[in-house]
Amino acid sequence: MKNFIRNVSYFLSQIPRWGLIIPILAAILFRYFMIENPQIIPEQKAEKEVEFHIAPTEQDMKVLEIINSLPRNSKVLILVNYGPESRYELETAMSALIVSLAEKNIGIAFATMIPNGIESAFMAVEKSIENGSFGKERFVYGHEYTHLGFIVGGSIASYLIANNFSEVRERDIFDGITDIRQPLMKGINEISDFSAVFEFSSQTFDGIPGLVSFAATLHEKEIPKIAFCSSDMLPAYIPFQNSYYFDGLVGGFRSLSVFIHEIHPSIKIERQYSTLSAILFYIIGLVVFANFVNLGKKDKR
Amino acid sequence: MKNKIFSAFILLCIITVFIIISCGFESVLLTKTVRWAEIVIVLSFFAGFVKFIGREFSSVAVSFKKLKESFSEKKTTSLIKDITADVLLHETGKKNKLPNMQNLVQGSGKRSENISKLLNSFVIIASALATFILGFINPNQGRYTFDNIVREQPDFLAHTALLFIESDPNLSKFPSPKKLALYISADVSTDFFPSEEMLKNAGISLESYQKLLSENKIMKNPELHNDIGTTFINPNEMKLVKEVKEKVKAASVEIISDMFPVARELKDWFDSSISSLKNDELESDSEIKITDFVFSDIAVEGSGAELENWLAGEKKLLFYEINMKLTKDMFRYNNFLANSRISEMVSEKFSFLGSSMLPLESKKQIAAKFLETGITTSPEIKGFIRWIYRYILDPLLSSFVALLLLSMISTVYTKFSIKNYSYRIITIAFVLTLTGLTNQYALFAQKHFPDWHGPLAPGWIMADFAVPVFKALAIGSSAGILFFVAEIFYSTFFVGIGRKK
Repeated sequence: MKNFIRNVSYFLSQIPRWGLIIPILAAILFRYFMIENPQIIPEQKAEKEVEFHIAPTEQDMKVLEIINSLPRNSKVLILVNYGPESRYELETAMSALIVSLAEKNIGIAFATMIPNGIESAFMAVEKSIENGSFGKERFVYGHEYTHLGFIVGGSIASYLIANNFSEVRERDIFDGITDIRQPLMKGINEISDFSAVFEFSSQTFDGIPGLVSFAATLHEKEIPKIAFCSSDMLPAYIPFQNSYYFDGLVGGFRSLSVFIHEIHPSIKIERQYSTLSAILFYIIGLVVFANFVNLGKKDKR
Repeated sequence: MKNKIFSAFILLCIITVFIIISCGFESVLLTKTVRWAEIVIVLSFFAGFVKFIGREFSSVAVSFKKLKESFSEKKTTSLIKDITADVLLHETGKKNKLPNMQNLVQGSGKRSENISKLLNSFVIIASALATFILGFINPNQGRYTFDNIVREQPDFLAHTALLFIESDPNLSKFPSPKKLALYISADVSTDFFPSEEMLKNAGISLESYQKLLSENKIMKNPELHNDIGTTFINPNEMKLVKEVKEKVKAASVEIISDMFPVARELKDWFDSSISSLKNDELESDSEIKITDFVFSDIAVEGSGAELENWLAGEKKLLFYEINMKLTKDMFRYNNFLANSRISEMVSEKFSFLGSSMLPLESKKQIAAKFLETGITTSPEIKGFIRWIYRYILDPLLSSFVALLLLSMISTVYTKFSIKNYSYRIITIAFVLTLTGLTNQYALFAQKHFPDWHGPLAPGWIMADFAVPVFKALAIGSSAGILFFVAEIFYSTFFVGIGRKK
């Protein structure tokens, strides 16, 4: 009982220290509810463009160009290498990409190099279907999209995908025993049969991004490669992008927001981005202000 | 010596892999390695899990014992012990204003520590056992199998829907029952997609089928209804269609659940019957004797003879007509189901199983159709893991990462100061980095210095500071690992002392 009272009193004594957290929460809620919802229906897309206070870079535009130039009715491979830790950063972008590909009737084959990636892919697909402006009547497993499962081995898995795809493609996560000839995989015998390869990643394999291992072992097969990574992975991806290992990089919340906004404006990215941007500004202000206050104190720390 | 042998073995493996890759056989090697790696991963995971659970059980026992001891000690004894400890503390010269009270608090502190340890271990054991038991019992197996069947064999669902349409007095008069069956199937499961053969049988093209689905969706809106004109199902029938849809789904899942063990046993019976055949029996025209299929002590009379007949026909087809050397692998279970009456025979015998309220004849037909699919595996565990991922792992891991980041930010925040030199560097770097990352700064820079790519341009901090630091870290840690391994090899082979301790 005494311990309980002591713990409760300690907990209550920490409340003044929450001075940092409470204003942040207030700022988030205030910003989130003050900004108008920019969701628009596809018919109005041409008439009413959503105003987005963000500056796209050349790199952002290049990625959009590659995606827009993908031929209709072709097939793409998406490597899903993120789990719940980066889901809220990458899932919206992947969902927007799925919507965009489905509009052009492009088949999607998912594969993953981490166990969590299996479910991450399905959740993104469900999010796309639930979206009001999803252009397809039905989005059927095995016909419009499929999942090749978890491919073990990190860099070796990248190598197998690049060079021995016929072995990899026989897997199916729903029933590994049955040899299913899925309609989507008809005509896909090697990796160059895909019109592009995307990677959504929040981690590296043996210190190297998955798409880089893939690109390095591709042996002169020409196929567009685009990486989407979370903010913490950006320093790992930028050097390889500068060395032209892949054709496009969308990394960090800013680039992801631009991508989502440009490719699928009905997703509510404006609210999230503006709120986060405001929080960053708030933290800077708080640090500067606190230091001014501390300057007047005698404490040397 | 052991170290030397082990290191030599590792070296040999590395050299072998290097040679194989150099010779261009890497695809085969790596593919096989990955397949074996999967098995090793699962086994090691299982071994680790057993060890972990065992440790938690022993932890529960120890904590429970300690807790019991602390409760059984008399208060007076503990007070005497506290006073003795107090005297000892005074002798060592440490100051203690309220020694007795503190010792009392320490005693209860140990007790609460034991309780928390006990609770921790208990929660871990309970959650692990619950997960594995539920995975083993596999709730909703029928539903997961149903999803699987719809994806792989959509014919089953359409057939079930057709059965219900034909048994309904109003819908049976519908001019195109097969088209209606396709429509209902698509409504039952979003995974349903008819095969070309099914569309051909129903007399509908893929475009018309897709149009049919979309038109009926539009028809729900009365304003748009007139604009569309032709509709396939009128609004009065729509109510009946919805009722049938519910029935189709419920009946399919129920019957799959009831017949799933039978299907599994049937496949086992087929496999064991084929594997028991001798090579000379396969090649000669001699008669083969196969026992009848038995499930729950009920034998399906004539099933053995049915398999014998099918085998004779199959042998004739493969050996005499195609002129192939026969092996046991050539006799496929799916061919047996498709070209024999076994599914009807089994469903006739076992359709009484389960609690479904459907008429017996309908049950028989649906069960036979299910057995014909030949599906004996289901993604049940995956389905359950999916549930765990969505409702346990995802919220836990997301919350953990969010809290970790928040605690990092709040910890770093307490260190921001410009009075101390080290902290001043951190503070200024932090302010600069964050300013560079804000959208407000990016907009300002693009507006006022659109062509500037040097210092303080948007993205400059990330490209010119963060990336080199990351590179340096990567190079440093890689070099460290290499030198560490080199040191082990050197100390093992040249110094001869093995790894330094």
